[in-house]
Amino acid sequence: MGSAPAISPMVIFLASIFTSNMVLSNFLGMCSFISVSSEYKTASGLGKAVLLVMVFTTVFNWLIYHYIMIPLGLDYLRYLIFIIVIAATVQIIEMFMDRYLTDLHMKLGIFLPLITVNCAILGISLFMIIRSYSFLQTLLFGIGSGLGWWLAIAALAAIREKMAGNELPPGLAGPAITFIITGIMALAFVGFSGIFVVM
Amino acid sequence: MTVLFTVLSLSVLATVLAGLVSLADFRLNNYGVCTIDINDGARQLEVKGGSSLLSSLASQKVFIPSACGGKATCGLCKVTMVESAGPVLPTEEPFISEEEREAGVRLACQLKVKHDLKIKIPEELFNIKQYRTRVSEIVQLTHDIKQFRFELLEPQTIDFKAGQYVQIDSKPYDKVKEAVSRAYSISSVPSEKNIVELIIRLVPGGICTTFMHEHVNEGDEITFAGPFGDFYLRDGADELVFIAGGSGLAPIRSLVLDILEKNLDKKMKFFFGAVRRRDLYYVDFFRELEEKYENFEYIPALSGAAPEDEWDGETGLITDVVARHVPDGVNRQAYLCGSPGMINACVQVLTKIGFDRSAIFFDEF
Amino acid sequence: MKQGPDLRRIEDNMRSGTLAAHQFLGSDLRSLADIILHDRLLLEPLGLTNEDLAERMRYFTEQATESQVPQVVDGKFEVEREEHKGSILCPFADNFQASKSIIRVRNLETDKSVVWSDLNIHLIEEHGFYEGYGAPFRIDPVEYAQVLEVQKHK
Repeated sequence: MGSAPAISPMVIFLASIFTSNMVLSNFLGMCSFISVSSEYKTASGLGKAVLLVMVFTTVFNWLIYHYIMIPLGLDYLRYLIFIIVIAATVQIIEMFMDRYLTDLHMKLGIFLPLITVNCAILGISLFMIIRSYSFLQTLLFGIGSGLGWWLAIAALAAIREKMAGNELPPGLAGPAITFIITGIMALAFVGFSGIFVVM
Repeated sequence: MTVLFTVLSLSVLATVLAGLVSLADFRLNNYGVCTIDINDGARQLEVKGGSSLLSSLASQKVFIPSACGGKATCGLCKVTMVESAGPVLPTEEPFISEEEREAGVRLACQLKVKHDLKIKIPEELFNIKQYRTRVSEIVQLTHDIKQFRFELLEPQTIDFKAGQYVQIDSKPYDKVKEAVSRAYSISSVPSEKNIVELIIRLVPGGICTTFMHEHVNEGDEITFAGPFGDFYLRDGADELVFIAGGSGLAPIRSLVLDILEKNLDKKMKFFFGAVRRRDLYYVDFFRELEEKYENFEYIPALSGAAPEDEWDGETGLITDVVARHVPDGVNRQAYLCGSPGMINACVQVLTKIGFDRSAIFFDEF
Repeated sequence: MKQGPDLRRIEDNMRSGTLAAHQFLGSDLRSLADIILHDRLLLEPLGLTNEDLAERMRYFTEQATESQVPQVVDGKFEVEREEHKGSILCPFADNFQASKSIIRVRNLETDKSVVWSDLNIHLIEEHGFYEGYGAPFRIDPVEYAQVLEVQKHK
């Protein structure tokens, strides 16, 4: 692992929302993105929950990586360890929300088990290792990626809701048209590429 | 060596994390003992926090009506929170109106008991108990209606108003994996305190009616909770019109017998609507009552009598028959029990005849 | 296909078998979202929507009068209604209650019959739900569209 790249955390933050959007540029976290995006309210709820989980898991994973795994030489176990940490973190977040933030839990909490298997969550933890981000860079990367994922799914849901009454050629309804919309959105986001350098 | 170290470190890490989750579970999901204050101190219950208000109350023998087993589908388990217990949850939203929200109404099955609560429930609910009974007699009244007689084992007596209902607990059978509870009106008279009679019609695909018709025999033990319901005799009229169809005869039978027993000096007309002759039951019973009591008149009507029925009584829709026999709503009340379609049609006809909407009562379920 | 937690909760309630004996999902192992989607795709080649089917079913429901005796409608449909006391709750937890009316329609030309309950109309109209394979009140969208001669609404 090299040393942290000399990129401002703010740049990383903005980049992860727009130019290297998790789902539209990196195509991670697609399954819940496609299937839970038919209603704006639900999609937005899922987006917020993903944001929450991304922030906590990247921070925990960074700490565990640098203070436990490297000293013990366990770098090769990062996939396994990160996934276990993600699962445990999600459980604890859910319990905490149920106790102290009940109405938030009722709105978001039901999504949390769904998020544990969202590959974008594992993805950003792995990215921050590959790119050797510092703690601050990781924190802002996590927040930005979450916001970017939320933005993407909220936009998709809004588009789908607006299209809901329209007649589509047979066979295109459901996942098919969703993929097409996602592809067009990704094309739009390609327009952002090159503006920021992230690694 | 590396393999051993890998396995060891993974196991340690997994154990530590599992431990952390368990600790969080213990610290965060443990709510201790909570006090529930009902109706300003009328009852005070101590329950273990963490369960829904509905099940916490039931565990202390306070039964709130519920038809869906606490799944936020029936909207019957409403209670009023004197002090707010948090915002209304998304699962409760379809069932609680704006005014109810302002008044602090919540669904007891969705509210988790996390701290002391102050609630308000209707007084009648205190009278509701869980009864353990034995089926002492089953009578087939028509091709799809059976009458069940229950001997009360514990408690041994029941106190109810004629017209009320009980909620029977079915047991798992065939593909039905869980017990459900369903409401049936009591057809026996309140003065008989140690038995309860129910008239149950088999509904295609009905969980509890199928259970009662096909899986219950004389001698079986059944539990039910009760009595529930706002359908009972009110003061205010000297003449009463009863209209029923199918199993709706049950609460009417209870009401009529109760009124005659208590010598309440009310003139009663009982209209019973059925399709064919084979759907009629208790015909002789009510004809005998008619002969014995000049205050009681029994008018059965068939809407689809076939020639082989050899029917010489009233024919046509029950609403038409009622219109022929009831001149106006002066000093009269109406008590209806039957399908929603029948009830709607009767309410329309009665208001057209001149009944005040507030003088018409019917079973809400 | 993954489904959101709202549908997941409703599917779990349906599978527990406590809402109505008539096992809304029958022996179907697909998720609720898949069932709804596939049934809508079945109707598409016919150029019909859920609303078209629900409207037609409602038309026959209204034609079947309360006398509960079979009668002929439009010269080629025999319609019969059976009524029961009480109401049945919509399993989608939207506080909708349907009466327990069962309507039977027989197409006198093809001699095919179809059955539905009041709740089915609401489930189709509001939720696009035709019930799962093996459910006693499953509505096969194509079969019903043919027997009832459903037309597209302008």
